[in-house]
Amino acid sequence: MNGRNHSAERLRHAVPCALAILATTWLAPSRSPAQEAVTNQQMGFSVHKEKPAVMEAVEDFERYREKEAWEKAFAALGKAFDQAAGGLVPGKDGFMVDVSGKLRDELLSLPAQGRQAYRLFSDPTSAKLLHDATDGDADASGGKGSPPHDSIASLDRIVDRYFITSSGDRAADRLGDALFEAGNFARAERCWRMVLESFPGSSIPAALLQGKRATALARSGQWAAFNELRAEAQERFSGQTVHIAGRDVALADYLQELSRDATEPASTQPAGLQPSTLSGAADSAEMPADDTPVWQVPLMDDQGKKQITDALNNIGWQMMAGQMASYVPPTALDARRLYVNWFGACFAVDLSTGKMLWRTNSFANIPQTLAQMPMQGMSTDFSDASAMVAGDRVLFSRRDLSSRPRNPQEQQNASTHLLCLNAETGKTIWGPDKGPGPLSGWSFTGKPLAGEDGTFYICGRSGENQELSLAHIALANGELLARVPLGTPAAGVDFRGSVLSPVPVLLMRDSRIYVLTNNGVLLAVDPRAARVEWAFTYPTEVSASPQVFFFNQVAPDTKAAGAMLASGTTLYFKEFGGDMIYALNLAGPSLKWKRPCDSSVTIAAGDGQNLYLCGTEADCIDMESRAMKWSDRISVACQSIRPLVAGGHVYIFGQRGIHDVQSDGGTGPIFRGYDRSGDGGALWQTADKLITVSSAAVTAYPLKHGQRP
Amino acid sequence: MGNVPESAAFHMTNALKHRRVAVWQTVLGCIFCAACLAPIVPAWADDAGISVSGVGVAKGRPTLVEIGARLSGDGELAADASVKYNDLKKKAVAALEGLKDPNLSIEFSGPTVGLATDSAAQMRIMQGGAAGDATKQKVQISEQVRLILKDADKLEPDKLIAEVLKVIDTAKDAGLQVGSPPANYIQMQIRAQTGQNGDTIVVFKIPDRSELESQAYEKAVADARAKAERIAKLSGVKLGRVAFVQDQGTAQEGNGQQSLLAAIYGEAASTATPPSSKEVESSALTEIPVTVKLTIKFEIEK
Repeated sequence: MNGRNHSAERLRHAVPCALAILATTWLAPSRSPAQEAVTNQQMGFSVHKEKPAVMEAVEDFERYREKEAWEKAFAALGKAFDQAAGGLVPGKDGFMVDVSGKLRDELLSLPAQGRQAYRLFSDPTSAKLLHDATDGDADASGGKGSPPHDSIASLDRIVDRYFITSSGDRAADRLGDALFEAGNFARAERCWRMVLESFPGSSIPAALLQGKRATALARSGQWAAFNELRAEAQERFSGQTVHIAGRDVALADYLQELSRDATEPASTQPAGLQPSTLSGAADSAEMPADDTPVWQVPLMDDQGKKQITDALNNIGWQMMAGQMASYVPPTALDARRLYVNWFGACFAVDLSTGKMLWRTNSFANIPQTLAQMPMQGMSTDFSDASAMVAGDRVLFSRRDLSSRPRNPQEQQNASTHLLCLNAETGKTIWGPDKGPGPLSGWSFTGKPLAGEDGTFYICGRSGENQELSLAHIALANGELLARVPLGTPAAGVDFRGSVLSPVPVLLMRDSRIYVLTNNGVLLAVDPRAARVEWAFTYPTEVSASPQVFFFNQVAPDTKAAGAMLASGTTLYFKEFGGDMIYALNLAGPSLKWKRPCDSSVTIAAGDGQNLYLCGTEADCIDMESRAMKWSDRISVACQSIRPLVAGGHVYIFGQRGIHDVQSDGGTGPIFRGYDRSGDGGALWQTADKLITVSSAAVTAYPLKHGQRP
Repeated sequence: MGNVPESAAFHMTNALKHRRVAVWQTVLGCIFCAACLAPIVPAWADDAGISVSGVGVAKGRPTLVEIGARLSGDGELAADASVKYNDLKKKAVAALEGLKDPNLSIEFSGPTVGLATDSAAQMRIMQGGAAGDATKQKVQISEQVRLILKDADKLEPDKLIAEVLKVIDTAKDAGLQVGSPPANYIQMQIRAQTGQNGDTIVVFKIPDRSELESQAYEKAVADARAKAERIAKLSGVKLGRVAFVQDQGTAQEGNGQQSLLAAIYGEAASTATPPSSKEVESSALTEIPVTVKLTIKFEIEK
């Protein structure tokens, strides 16, 4: 009886417990928030890493170095040099450095006794290699003889592997000369600096090396570093004469001559936001006198918005309507026309009349096509599109919505291709409709970066390969001149399962191209050597939303674009939607500082002392102390803002109009304007007009006569 | 009883006891019911006279307009939150003072410091989901702000509305959050069901209703007397002195549907600030009524 009671009692307790467990299992999310956060914080972009065998050899070298077993140490290092394949290896503070630089640093870390031993082993080889690379004309005078034109690769190898040998300083000096001749001023300066800093007792006069460095700094426009060098030279080399540029001249006088050309390179507008061709940065700006526009080109009218919203409401994806309806198209400007890339339909507008001069596609079906895209599994992310003007041509990267994919695979792989048009007539110069060319099979992403001699750089993928490369392309015919493999991005997934690919941002500074992957890595690329010099890695968030649409799914917050800004020798950057700003010292490279910020703001401008951030608010950050000086709330709700920076003002086109934020934290009146239907967007200024570009319209306002942009 | 078993005798004694208790319970219950019902037994039941109810309504134009707003600054670094909060407050005050409106005043409720929740997590919590793993917490400094326009009754309605909108625009331009977001999911549902897109951001008030109340009482008494006289005349009797007055209180008309929903969910209907005992308010710019209801018993002259 008792036993039966106990069984019944146990059963009474067991049933609710079992139900509770079942309910918990059933109701619990398939992935806990913590797990999701871990997924979202996963590593982003994968760079090309060096082989493990090389790193093991380096570790062996370090171990033998500590034991002063020089022969074994140099054998291990030699093995590392022989097996190195040009990948990146971990450095300090999240940096990944080129393996050759790492190995050179290992050599430089040798104590005096070790250096002596290394010279004993390697001096003959080094001297022979230098002789071969320079036809025997390398001397201790600092390269008075004519430098060879084809020895950069050989000299590179000597400097990497034998810099601490007796002829290492001469090799580095000659490499500097060769790089300078090739126009690679930044690398040349680094070679001469390396001799000064890391080769004590060099026979090359320090004054001469400083003179060469100064020339390279002046040629590459690094005036902050130049002024530091000049101050040091005046103190240390006063009255010394150097033989430079074919003549003997006092170093002080020479530096004085160089400084006459001093102009700080534009650093006001960062990459990602900067105008592509507007000649000269605006030094003043003023808002129009009233709200009446001189012309307006409507883009997405209320009917179009309704069409998209209604179609998406029917399938429960109404949340996406805002994503498409608030899309601000990429634009570019020259002296006569504004070029717009609206969902792949590209057109030009006459700046004086507002007339549409030409267009690549009809606009009629765009809202309908957009509304159908989610249902057909096509990506509705157009953030990889761009527009750029180069001389008499205009370049668009776009997805052509008029060429409909035939199957789901094609829909998923719909590529973003380049289209080069005659800016005046809109006729195709090169592009996919001219037949398969060198760029067929490529899918490009992000805004191009103008290069030298009618070329440009842009990131893209070739074929089915997911690896991202930096492509160097001739503007004249679309020929692929060079390609630098960068690594593989980690694509995210949005709430409905569509792939979200990060869109990189490019910036050219001191002969290097910096690639902000917006995926957890910033890369420094030497475009001439076609190699990645170093990478800086940082925590990122790769969106991995579940592919289901629950009732409690919420629209993501506004995330500001990624941006870079170079000022002096510092590069400031913030990733797309990131909540951290980083300042990198490019001379190192090293991490100068980092600080948290809102994910809804991005770097808009800098004036040498302050960084100006804008988005849902405008913030001013001291570049040195990184303290926030002031903050101002503004009404920006879209990702694609393009502020106008002029005369100590940052103008930002937001929901409530154009905000005037002053560098001292003051604010001017908000210019409401005629376009009040969008979420804000881009601002352009010409000699006589202010142009706003929103998701709804392109609107031009007259400025006072004779006003200078 | 001798044959009755002991247990049966015990049961009978018990039954008698229970009956006595039941009788007493009935008596006490009747007394209690009588006491409870006494106040609601009509006055005429115990004495002769005419009892009537009178209603008096007095209306007045709102003299004060109150706009609810909020200012806040947040940041992962508390120093950032402080800069944002202070700059926003400074700018908002400067912008509103720049209107040079002598009738406009700003009242701050005092800052509160807490942890900010990002909007996505907020929505998840509102909808009963998990907040998610907040990797980086943000400090938030926030403060409720009341923008008060006095002498509202001295302006024409059109001009007053224009003035109010100007203040709202200035506050929004300066970065203030005008109105308040729903405090919880229930408030959000109430707003959705009542067709409100957001909170009522402007409240029109009469800060002291005493004068209106006096007028309403006068009207209520007059109304009651008129009714009683009519009844007396029809009944062929003469109205005597007032024998009894019951005040049923004053009332202010409000949004019935919203109040009902709020009551169902156990929520207070949200307003910029809860009205004080002397205030009367309306969300519409209209004359605000104060109603008094009285029950008066008149004696019949013999």
